[in-house]
Amino acid sequence: MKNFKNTSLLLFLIVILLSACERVFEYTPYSANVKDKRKFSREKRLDALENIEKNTLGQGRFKIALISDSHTYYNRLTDAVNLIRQDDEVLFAIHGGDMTDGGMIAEYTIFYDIMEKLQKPYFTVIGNHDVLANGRVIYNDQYGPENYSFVFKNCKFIFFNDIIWELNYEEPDFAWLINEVSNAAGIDRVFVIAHIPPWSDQFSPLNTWAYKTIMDSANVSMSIHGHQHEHYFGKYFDDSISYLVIGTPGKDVFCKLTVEPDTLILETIKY
Amino acid sequence: MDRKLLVYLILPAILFFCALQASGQDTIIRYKKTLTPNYVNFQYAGNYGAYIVGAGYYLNPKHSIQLVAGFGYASKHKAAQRIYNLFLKGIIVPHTWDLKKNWFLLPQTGITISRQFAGAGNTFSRLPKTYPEGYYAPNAFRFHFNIGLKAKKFFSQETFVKAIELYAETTTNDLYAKYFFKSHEVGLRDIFSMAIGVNIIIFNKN
Repeated sequence: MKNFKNTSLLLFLIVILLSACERVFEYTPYSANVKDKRKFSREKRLDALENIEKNTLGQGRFKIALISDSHTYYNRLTDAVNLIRQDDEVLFAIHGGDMTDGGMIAEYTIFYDIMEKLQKPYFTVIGNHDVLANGRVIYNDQYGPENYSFVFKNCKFIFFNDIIWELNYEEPDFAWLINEVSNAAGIDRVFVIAHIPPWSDQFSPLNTWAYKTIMDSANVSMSIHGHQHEHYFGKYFDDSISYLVIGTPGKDVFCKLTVEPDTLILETIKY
Repeated sequence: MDRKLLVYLILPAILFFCALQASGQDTIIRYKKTLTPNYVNFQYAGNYGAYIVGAGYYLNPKHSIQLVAGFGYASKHKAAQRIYNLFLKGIIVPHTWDLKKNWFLLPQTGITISRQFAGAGNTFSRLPKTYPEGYYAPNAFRFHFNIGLKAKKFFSQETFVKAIELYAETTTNDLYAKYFFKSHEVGLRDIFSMAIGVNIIIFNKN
């Protein structure tokens, strides 16, 4: 009986040891080693978007999904992704930042794997949680530059890193943003996506003024944000610019935005 | 396994072992001082560094409770950033199987606390004053759970090295456990990884 117990324990231990063979050795959860297949993945999504644009040439109207602040609400994010995938009208998705909680490589990987199930292109903006630990290095390796833009169906989407505190009070690159919004001749609409709303904690009054002035000067169609976890939509500064704070899958919220030639339709999805 | 493992872990361990064996050929009675470790520990991988070195202590006469204090390092090659760790590892050895000829098999389990110094900054054990109170939880400490098996070979008690232990263990940490419970996507096999190591025992008794 004693031998049987010992042998069972030994077998149990061997099974446990073997179960670890999936990844074999791991050195630290703070590693910034992005696997080759995930590196600079934005490029392939931009290619996919180009194909979508070609395939829907005659179609002026299009719909996009907006998610933000998914952190480690993985199951709720998965639910949102499933709902978005099932909507054939949604052509691509935007994530408004804070796709991780602590900027860990495992969090970036889980997020990536869940978003792959979308089976549609998605584009991200970096959030304040995403730059914790080695997160900024991972983001740049996994997705590419933090500030970038693309044009889809004559609408310009500008993704802007406006994180301040976590980047040692480094000022957001407003010069780049001015250049992007003003370099939109012949473009029907301009959307700016930045994680932190300009009235939020991290912005100094001067930064708020700078951001608001840039939006006004280019008559941006919508300034899209995350960070606050509570959904908001309105003209925050009582000017012509609409500001959207998406909300979080943690509170079962995401949005869909339909872009028509002369109208924008915003749906807030509670699920 | 790469060549660096040989250079960083196995080779120093062998050299250390040989040097100690050679020095042990004279009959010198050594007395262990309180802070002198019972054994020197070398480990490869395990969530608090790629190359880990530690000092091990027996905390009870049966050696079933042990403590290892040490340092771990993950190079740029291994982690894309240089990452340093300080750790304290508590070990419980619940049983010993006698395999004959001075060989023993021992299961071991334990909990490790590590303080990780991540390369790019933004890792802190106390929230920096630049943030409002409670803005982030400190993110530099990690708790690890380990379970494994070691083979132990006893030598003559007159040599400097009294015994050697080779072990393999599987390990996870508090973050991965959180992901496991928060996501259907994360399975048990995703949150565990392996570590291997060697303990060189210099003092069998305290």
